[in-house]
Amino acid sequence: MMNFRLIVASLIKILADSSNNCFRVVGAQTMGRAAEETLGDLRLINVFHRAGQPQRESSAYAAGPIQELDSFQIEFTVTGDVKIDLDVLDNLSATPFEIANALETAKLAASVANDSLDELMELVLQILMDPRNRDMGMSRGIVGNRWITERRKDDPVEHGEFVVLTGVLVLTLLVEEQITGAPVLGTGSINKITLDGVGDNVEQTSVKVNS
Amino acid sequence: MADLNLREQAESDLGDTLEGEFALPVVLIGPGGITQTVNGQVLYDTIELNSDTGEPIVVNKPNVTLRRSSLTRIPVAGEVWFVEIPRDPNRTAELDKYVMTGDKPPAGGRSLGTITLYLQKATQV
Repeated sequence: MMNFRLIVASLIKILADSSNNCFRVVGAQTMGRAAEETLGDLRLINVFHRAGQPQRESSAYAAGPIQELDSFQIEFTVTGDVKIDLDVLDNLSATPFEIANALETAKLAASVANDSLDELMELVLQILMDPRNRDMGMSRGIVGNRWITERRKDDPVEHGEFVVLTGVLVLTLLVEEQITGAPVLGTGSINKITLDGVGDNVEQTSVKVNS
Repeated sequence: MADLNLREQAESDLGDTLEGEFALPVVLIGPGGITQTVNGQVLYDTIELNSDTGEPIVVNKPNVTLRRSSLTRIPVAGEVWFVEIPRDPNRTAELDKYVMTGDKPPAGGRSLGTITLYLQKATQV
């Protein structure tokens, strides 16, 4: 399996292991959900591979490692409800002033959702850019570099009783991939290129065909 | 009783259409902390179209439509109100607490003498 697929699973595991029950993580894009499914700490993160950009000099003739820039989309969905002192309604001795004060200090659902998404994005960014996660859960050398190339928040949308807010974070990684041929093509020998630099005992540059 | 023109008659009919046999009790508590209980049309969900697929979907979207002339104070956009409605379409059912906020302002209906309040879920701070 190519590394970009393994990295998706690894990203999900890294985020899930660090979630501390503050959010949920799933792979792939989901088709739809009810707003209350992402309320409070049920806020949801979707992780999936968005795009890959192989290096242009990579030769189709070669069977060695290639590098590509892979973008992984991390989508956030949070739901906000109104935060207000409801207990005042059950307090039979509450004065109109106390009730008015509860209404005055209510935190609106859009504001609740906004704060929740900010907190979630901060959390995820800190997890992904943590130096301890520089390999993204892969073997050393598979992932070369990492960038957060986009971080965006959408407009809040009113969904029935709730307000839903979504956002996106795009993580781009420099990833090494191996071209090993597809099983459907059979097991015959394929071209290999090794590098043999002059005076370099480590890197080899020679061409071997059907070795 | 003075003769009513058609508009006045239509507003008068709200006593039957909104506050009649189909009505449920609605408790409103406004920014001044004053409580008023009226009868009105209570809907718990609506049918909306999925903008991506055109498919109709049922959305949990409680809202109440009230007769303006029955209210001692009429909610306006930007205000926060407590609104309590029966949990089930039953006049004696336990009341659930909701709020109306500036996130979803009340809808007009002024030409007909009505106002619709969209209710939001609220949790204790």
